[in-house]
Amino acid sequence: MIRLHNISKIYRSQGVETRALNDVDLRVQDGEFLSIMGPSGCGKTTLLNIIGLLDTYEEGLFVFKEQDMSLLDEKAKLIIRKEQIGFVFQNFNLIDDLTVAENIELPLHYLKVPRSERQERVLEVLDAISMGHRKDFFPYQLSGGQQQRVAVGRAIVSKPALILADEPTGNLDSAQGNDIMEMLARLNDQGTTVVMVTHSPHDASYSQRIVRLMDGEVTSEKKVLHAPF
Amino acid sequence: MLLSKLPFAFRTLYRHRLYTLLNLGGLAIGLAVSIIVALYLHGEFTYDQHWEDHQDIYRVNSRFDLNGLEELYGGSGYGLASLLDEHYEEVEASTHLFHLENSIFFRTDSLRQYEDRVAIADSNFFQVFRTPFLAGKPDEALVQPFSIVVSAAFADRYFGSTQVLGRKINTSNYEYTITGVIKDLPENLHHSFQVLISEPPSIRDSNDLAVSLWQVSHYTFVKLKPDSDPYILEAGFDGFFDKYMAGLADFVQGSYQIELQEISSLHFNTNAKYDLPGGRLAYVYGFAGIGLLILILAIINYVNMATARSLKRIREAAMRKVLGASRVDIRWLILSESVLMSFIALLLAFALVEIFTAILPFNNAIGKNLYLNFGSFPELLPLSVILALLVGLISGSYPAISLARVSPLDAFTNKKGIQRRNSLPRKFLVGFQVCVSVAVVITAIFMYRQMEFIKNRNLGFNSDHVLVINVQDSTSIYRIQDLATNFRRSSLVESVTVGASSTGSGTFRSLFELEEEATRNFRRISLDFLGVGPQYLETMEIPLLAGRGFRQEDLGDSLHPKVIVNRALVRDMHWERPLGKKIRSAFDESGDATLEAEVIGVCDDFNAQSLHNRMAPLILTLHQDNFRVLQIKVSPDQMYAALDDLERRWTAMVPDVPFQFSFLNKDLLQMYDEEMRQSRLILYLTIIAILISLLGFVGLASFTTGLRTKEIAIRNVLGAGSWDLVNMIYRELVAVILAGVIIATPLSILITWQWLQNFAYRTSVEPLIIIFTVLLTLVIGYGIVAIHSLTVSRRNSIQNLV
Ligand SMILES: Nc1ncnc2c1ncn2[C@@H]1O[C@H](COP(=O)(O)OP(=O)(O)O)[C@@H](O)[C@H]1O
Ligand SMILES: [Mg+2]
Repeated sequence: MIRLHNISKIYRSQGVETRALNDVDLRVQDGEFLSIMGPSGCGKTTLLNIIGLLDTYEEGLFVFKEQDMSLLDEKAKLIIRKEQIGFVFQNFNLIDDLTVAENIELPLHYLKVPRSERQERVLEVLDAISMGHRKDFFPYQLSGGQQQRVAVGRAIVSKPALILADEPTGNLDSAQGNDIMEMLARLNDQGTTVVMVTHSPHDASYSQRIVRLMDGEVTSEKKVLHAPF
Repeated sequence: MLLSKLPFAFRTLYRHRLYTLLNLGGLAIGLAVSIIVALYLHGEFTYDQHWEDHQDIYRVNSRFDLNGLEELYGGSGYGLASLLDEHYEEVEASTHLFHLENSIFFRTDSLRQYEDRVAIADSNFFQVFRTPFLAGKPDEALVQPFSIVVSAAFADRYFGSTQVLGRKINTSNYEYTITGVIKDLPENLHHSFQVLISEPPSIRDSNDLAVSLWQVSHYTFVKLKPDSDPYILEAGFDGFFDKYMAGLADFVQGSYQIELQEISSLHFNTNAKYDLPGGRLAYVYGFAGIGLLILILAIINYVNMATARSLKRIREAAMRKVLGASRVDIRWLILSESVLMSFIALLLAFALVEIFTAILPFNNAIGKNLYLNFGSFPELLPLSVILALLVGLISGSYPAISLARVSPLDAFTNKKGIQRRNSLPRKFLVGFQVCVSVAVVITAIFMYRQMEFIKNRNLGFNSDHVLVINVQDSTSIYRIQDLATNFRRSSLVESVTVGASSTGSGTFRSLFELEEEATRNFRRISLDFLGVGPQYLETMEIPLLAGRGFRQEDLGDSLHPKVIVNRALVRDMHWERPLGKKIRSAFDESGDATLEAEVIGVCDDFNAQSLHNRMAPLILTLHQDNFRVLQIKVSPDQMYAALDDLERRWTAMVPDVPFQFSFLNKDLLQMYDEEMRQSRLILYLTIIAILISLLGFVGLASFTTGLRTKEIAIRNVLGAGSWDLVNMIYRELVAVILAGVIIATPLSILITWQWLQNFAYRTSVEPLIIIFTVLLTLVIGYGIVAIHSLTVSRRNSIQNLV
């Protein structure tokens, strides 16, 4: 599904150049669950943003679903993003002025899904993340774990082929974290490709493969053996 | 407390340069406008206060009651001044003043030029109007005939010096000796002059006081002894009347009473006839109002921006509290910032005012002489400082109070509830701002339209391609008919008419007896009349409705006087057959008319006076004694050839007199000079109001987008296109804009309607203009929102998510 070849990303700010990614090669298969690990500042978020078509890169080749991404303009990228990719962030990034249900509904809105179908989908998702009883709450009235559940719900409502999660459990306690990880694993079982950034080996054990980043370079890849329980 | 926070305030302002700049700019413009308006108002409301003891100086107005028709005149008869001085012990000094209407041609060896604002005064003038002399003695300067007192600027122009006592200066007819040089007078004098000429002996000799007291010809001023009540003069006037004026009262069938008017009130009280043009309170209040609104707009901008930014500073305020700052500390911190800001804005405003008044042709355009002078307007500095302090405190108070209330816990949580609570007052302020600016713009457009309307109004005659030659010296006055005949010979001239004054510059008034239609009795009424010459109607293209116009041969036929009347007079007299009707005038001592003229023609109504007055009944007479104006209609497509030809013919006949002319249509516009200047000033103020409102809107848009930066980023990630975001932001603002517009519209219509009542002829309140303004407001609003949200969403939005 995803092929990165010799991708480099350079930030220039106030005359200082930071090489956030340096000749990164990476492949992600359809239906795979991949974890990216590495110390803070090694370029994990940058890599995820590039895959999510949120950021640009200086060098290299990025192919998504057999399509060369460097050839696309902003508008085409926007279409791929809203149709194919769902995002989950460490700090949830829910819209404060919208209710739980409205937050989940938002991507369908931009996909111009008809109203009745939108409501149907939202109800399904609310059920799946078991937030039906809180659907009219505002984000600040929810706990962190609940907010992240809503964020996952929002990511999957459009049935994307790929979910990108940047430290989804970073702001959660372990019970809440496990809850989220279970949801991501279940999604992956149903065929969704998941790419996740995490610091936690425990979370990484939910995935099938781990890629280690160090100073913008891929240092190792290894298969994860599923815990027997 | 305020001072100790200043260094921090400076640092914050510097760190947020763009915000500071926008904010300062708006506030500085608002303050600059307030200062300019204050200068303007100060000028308007201190008219004639230049003179020493001005509160004791009064102009003597005349109230006539002739046959039940009461009329108030600003002028009075010759001789009144000295008689009042004799008759009343309350009068300390008195004087006569007479303004020469025409420009006077002055020449010295170094300069020859036409000069305006020349007046004749009697020898007591400077006892009433005390003013500093640079040379000469005030009490003696105007005693000798052919003496002349000039302003310092005038002396400098003609002689290059102000020490010019005894030097000679010539006009076309006489030679004058300079007997005084006065310090330049301020502009805000109702009876203003740059040159005063002493009375010629002929005036004193030829005037029979019994008659001249009944004829309005001069302006009379009295200076009362300190603490005298002007009412005593008015109340005791019966004695004066019996002694000097009663003799003719029966004959004119009228009564006469004086009214004393304080000179400082002359400027705004010009409803008397025979008065000089004055100021209009309606305009003055208009400016003051618009100025105030602009200031309010600027303050609201400031409050909005400060509030907007304070929301972003919640965390900072909370953190300061965690570190031990008290409510009071935070309040002072915010207040010191905003006060500092408004003082910087005040300095900028002074600079702006200086640039406008001293460098840009602003004064020229509005026909005023405004400039920053703390000496002549000592209240200006303290007033502006107080204003700046107030603006600083007012605009800082809302953010100061709300930030001081922030809980230290907000440093760690990201409660958005605070923002929601705050959005209502903010929306109210912006709605108010939109309302004010839309109202100002609509009102200004209507005012401007009225001015244009006046400029382009059909006056009832055609002033295009009409040359006016004001003949001012005795040689050319004597030869005026020959000049006219000579001009008529030119093939480039369509027609020439000679008259007492140029068309549209006003009429004269006198008592007439008019024949009634049915009874054949005569009715005595006071009417406007105008002395014109042959070919008048043709030259002015005034339609002739019946009968005929004046012909050359009528001039010689003094045995059978003829008049032409206008349509309004025929209507008012209910004449069915106007031709042949008799009109009498020139009454002798027993009250009988000595002249009887016959109506030979009826012309259409035309504006013989300015458009402030309605077209009234009018009699055109043929009276060649005081002909001194040539009006010449030249061939439209050969203007310049015609001018050359006329000058050749003129120089051939009167070689000593320079050929001077003006265009009638331009002369007419000068009558509306004041209005034109007003409308230009209104235009400027409107542009500024629009500018400030735009600034405010930019502020609001950036505020709204700024508050929602993160939300915009999230939506962007989830697939919102740029225009989706623009529309989303605009939807929030459009209600506010609409509310403002809805309140503004009736308001502006009301103001405009009130203002239009000042004019006899006025434009309609055109709904299309309002609709256009409203649509434009919505579009501009959309544009600004679009620019803002597009920049925000194009900026790498993922940066806003971490
Ligand atoms: N907008 C930016 N401007 C400059 N440098 C940046 C920017 N964003 C990230 N970086 C730098 O790029 C590197 C990688 O950042 P990031 O991908 O966020 O790391 P991670 O998510 O692994 O902690 C870091 O050194 C960071 O400082
Ligand atoms: Mg990161």
